[in-house]
Amino acid sequence: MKISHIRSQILVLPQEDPLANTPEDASAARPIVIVRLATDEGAEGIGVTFYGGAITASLKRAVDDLGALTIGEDPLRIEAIVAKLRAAAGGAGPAGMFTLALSAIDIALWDIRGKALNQPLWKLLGGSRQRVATYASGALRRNLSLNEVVAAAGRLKDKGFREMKTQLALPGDTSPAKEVERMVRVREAIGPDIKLMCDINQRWRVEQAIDIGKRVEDAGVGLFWLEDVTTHDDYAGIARVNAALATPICGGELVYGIAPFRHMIEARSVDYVMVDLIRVGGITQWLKVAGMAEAFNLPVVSHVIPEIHAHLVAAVPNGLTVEYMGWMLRLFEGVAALDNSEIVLPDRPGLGLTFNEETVQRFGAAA
Amino acid sequence: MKIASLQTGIVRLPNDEPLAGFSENPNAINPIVWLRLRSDDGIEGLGVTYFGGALTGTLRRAVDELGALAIGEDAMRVEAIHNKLRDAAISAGPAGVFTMALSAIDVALWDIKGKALGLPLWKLLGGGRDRIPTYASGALRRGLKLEEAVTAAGRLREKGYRQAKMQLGLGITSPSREVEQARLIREAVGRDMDLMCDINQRWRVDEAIDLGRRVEEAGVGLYWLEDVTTHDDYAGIARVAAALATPVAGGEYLWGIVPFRHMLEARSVDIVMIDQVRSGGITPWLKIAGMAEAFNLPVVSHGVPEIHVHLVGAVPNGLTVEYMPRLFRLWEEVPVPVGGELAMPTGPGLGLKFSEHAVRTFGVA
Repeated sequence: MKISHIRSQILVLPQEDPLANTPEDASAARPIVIVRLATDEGAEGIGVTFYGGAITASLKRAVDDLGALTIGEDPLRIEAIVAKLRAAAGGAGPAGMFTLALSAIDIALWDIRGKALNQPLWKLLGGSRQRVATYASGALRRNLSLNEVVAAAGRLKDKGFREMKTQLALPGDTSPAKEVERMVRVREAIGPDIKLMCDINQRWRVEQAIDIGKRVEDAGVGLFWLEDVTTHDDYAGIARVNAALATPICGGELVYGIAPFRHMIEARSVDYVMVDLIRVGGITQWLKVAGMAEAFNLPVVSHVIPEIHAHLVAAVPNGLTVEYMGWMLRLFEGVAALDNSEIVLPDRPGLGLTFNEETVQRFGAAA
Repeated sequence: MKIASLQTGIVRLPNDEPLAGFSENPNAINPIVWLRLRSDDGIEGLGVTYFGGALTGTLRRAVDELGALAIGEDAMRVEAIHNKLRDAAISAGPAGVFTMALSAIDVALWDIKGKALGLPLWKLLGGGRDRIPTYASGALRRGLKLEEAVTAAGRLREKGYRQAKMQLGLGITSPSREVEQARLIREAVGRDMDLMCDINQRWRVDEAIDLGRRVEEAGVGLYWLEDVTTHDDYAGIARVAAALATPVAGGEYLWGIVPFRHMLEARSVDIVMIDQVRSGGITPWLKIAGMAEAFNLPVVSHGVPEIHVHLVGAVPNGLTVEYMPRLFRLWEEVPVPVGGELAMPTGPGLGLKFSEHAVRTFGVA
């Protein structure tokens, strides 16, 4: 089997929040690049990449350039293809645009593999469990007013979510007391039994993270984890926060490739390792980080794109929960259903997903 | 696809040395447990485990007990089966007989998976390379007379090997005698062969630094120095690695993935050696290889090249396969090096078959 053809496309998806209907900026757009890899035996794999922002056209070009180098290669030999693309990229990698583009191709290769072997990815990759925990994300953001966030949290609970994430490091005129009050109110709205995560998105300094983190603990909020408490690559700084707080610390979504994860984990920065398959370099590298985390006795969780990540978190023994972020729900058909706040993995081969052609038509950018 | 049945046995293989012809101890026996695991649609996966020594009967029993727990499980869900067996074993694991037995089952599951999917394992696991370097091992042991070792080294070179491993840690000996052994073997193989040297944990840290430096000063040019001292003295091995210019290799004695993490964090070794039996099978082997990649370290294998060729060939940081023929008689056919390299096997799964002749001839009741 050989790769015969690659086709990529930019889509500009609307920013929406299908979970609690609290879009951050309903007029904003989210550009992504989709890719289809065809083989001479008919199996087609799909992939996606994003984080391109204003240089999404460059990202598409990188996918095209790398994809052209895969033509004629055996799609089952993913490590050989990764090695070829790395060598060809020269100083353009690691990290950054090269890795974002590589991920789209790696995902499509795994989709081909699953289809060629007639196995769903979660099973092909280890098959630890067919149901996996998931948490509602993206609905309880820091820009909502206190009343809005409390109402949205209640809606998520009513919808049956048993895990959900909110944010602190509030915009504008905030204070430690306001930050704590918001967490107390959200916790009241959802009750004591729901797992509540809180994302700082790197907005605190180390000492702020320790101070506010302790105040939230003292108020009895009971966070499941506190995420990206400060600059993502200040591994020693994050480790200080981790050592100072009883609350588990989560991080990793901003880390590119496997070696930086090693640095983060060796520094004992985090209790939960969050791996983003776009930034880490695709499914191949995601699995390596998960295995390393297992050797450090740490669970792994995913960052966005639950449609794909559910396979990975379900496959590995230390997979904890999947971030249910609705950014791309309308891109795919065949998205795994939620059942009692868990994702049930499909039995269809590969990713078990197809692009929703109506979405592609409607949001496709001109070439 | 469910696991339907299993069959195990023990063979007691003779300790011959087919690569260069000098066996350290021709009367010794290597007891091996073999496993056939069958799925309900008729696919048979093969596994082996060893290092059981006098407890080989126990090891076989453990494979039987764990295998029985795997019956009815989906053969594709290897991690789910690991979880179940680990839970069931409770404190009998990790490490030791439990992990050795688990490895046989894990390998057989991967063999089933490869056969069910119609792919050789190296390709199923990543397909990094078409060919992989291999080195002759077991032919230049410390138990040979010096003349025998030198003759054997020359034979390896004539046979086309480009890499070979010798041993030091000769026992009651002098530093100059150790250096002499290394120097004469280097002369016999010539300048262009990669020459590895295994200490098998026989030196103290200070000895390893002293002797390692003397071997360096004699211009022997070792490709690596292996298991220089007690395998779990990670800080001690790190001292040796820091003191010597020669790369230090180790890891064959480690059980499971967490001890590898300890070893890598301590910067003990330059080259990570993983044994598919002690690590717990192919599943953990791959996790360790990925972690080593994150530490920018290459991985090499220990024993059973007929299985390890798939793993070292699959991953991007695979360096070389130890060509150790200890189990070769058990199989109908094994990969044979050409020009110092092994070509990746083409049959699905492991691409191996037990030799019925060997099972009958060397089997024990």
